[in-house]
Amino acid sequence: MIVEGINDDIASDSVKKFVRENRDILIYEFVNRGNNGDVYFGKRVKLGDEVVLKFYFSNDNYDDKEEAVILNQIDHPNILKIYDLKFFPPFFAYFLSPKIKGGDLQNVIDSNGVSTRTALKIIEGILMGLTEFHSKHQLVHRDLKPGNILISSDNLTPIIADLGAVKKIKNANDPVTASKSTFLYLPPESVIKNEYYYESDIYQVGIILFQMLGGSFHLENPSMWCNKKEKKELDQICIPSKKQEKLDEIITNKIRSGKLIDSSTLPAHLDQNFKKVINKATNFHYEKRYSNPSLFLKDIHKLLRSQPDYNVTEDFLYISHQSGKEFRISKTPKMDVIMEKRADKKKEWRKDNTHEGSITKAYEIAKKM
Amino acid sequence: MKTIGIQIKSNEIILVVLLKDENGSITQTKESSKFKVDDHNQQEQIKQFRNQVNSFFDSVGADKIAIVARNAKGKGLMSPSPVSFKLEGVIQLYEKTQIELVSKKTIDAYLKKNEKEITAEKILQNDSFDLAYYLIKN
Repeated sequence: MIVEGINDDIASDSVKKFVRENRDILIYEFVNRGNNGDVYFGKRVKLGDEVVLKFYFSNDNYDDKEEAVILNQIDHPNILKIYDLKFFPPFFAYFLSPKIKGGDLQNVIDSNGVSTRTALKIIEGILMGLTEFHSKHQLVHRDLKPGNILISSDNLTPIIADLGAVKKIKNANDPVTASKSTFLYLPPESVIKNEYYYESDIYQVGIILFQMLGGSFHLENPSMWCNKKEKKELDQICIPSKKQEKLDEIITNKIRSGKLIDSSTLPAHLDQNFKKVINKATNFHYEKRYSNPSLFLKDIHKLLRSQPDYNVTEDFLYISHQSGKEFRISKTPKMDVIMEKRADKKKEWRKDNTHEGSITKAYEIAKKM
Repeated sequence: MKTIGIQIKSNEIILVVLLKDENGSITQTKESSKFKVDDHNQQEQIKQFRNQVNSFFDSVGADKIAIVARNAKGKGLMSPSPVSFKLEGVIQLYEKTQIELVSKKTIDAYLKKNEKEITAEKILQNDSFDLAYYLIKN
């Protein structure tokens, strides 16, 4: 069944017929994802829960590389569950999964951003899911990015989705080929040698953390990565396709030289230990990254225990300690530093001038546990 | 074949991972690590510890895992920290591989008769190493 007015003209006739004749699910939204297939959102009539139907090109010879088949073998709270999988003659298959209220992590980052504590908790969940991929199934995801991490709005649990690029690694030291799906997240070894290791997934999780912490990652406008000379070169090219080619070449070179992720662009208020973790996870040499998710997890937990929670809003930087003590720092139009503190949320904010006008000193004072 | 030897020292655990290849040669892997709990009264830290340990065991995929047993009845200077038993319980909850407890006496007796082919990379790993070595040889 489908709600009137849903425009799914672009979908194939057999898919359209199927969703209209299916009495179990009431479809209320349609999204065409190009090569990634057609996606319908609906509500199961009897059970009352919201679900996603993803249709994609397939044939009746399923193989174990198919996204839905892989998903079906995995049962983990941080990996998208699958309810049903069916071949749908002559060219389609579809799988049914729960709709995760909260959207994807890229949306969360773009809308409100996340506090450091939330960012670390999200990475913790992603690493738990990654452990399941790597150790239990010997799989690499190959396309980890905020757009492929769903966030449950109930408890901000991250759920790894979009397993279209997943591949099995037969031997821990033998790489598989890289996925071309998301260029900006490709690790250096993939760009240089078309190789992908378990540690390449670690690199992509490192980028996700880097983005959540506020490091410069120009997803919408990659030309921001260009230096003056490169920008000048780009400006001299008039044909859009040639311009894009040149930009791709510049970005490729930055990945090749390990300069795409620059931890010095992380906000100044963050402790050096955040930078250390980012640098280790996104190290140019895959052998120098965390060798497995658990070692990355250990450092994430260290940060959770040792660092206060930083939350940047339009007007203030809030720094909250587990004891309940809070600071907020802002700047006046004349760039004077204002620091206020309170013992807990019930108390009023009181000015603290011990920073003597220095923003660095204010960060230091507010950071102390 | 892979083994993990664990020594619990108060609020910290030291884990050594040994690998025996097809030729029978034994090496200590770079996965060897240590985890700790700063404040055992905080539930969140205990949960973090559980997640670290489970993720570590899953990642390593060892055939055998064991803990150096401590004397729960030890008194005075010989008494193990109560926190260590809390951590031991968390480790023992891992479900995918059986976690054994092996006494230091058993390990020492074995090593007295069988000389080690390699030694631990760090001194602080000695007890965990000896246990992992005992496991890989038996």
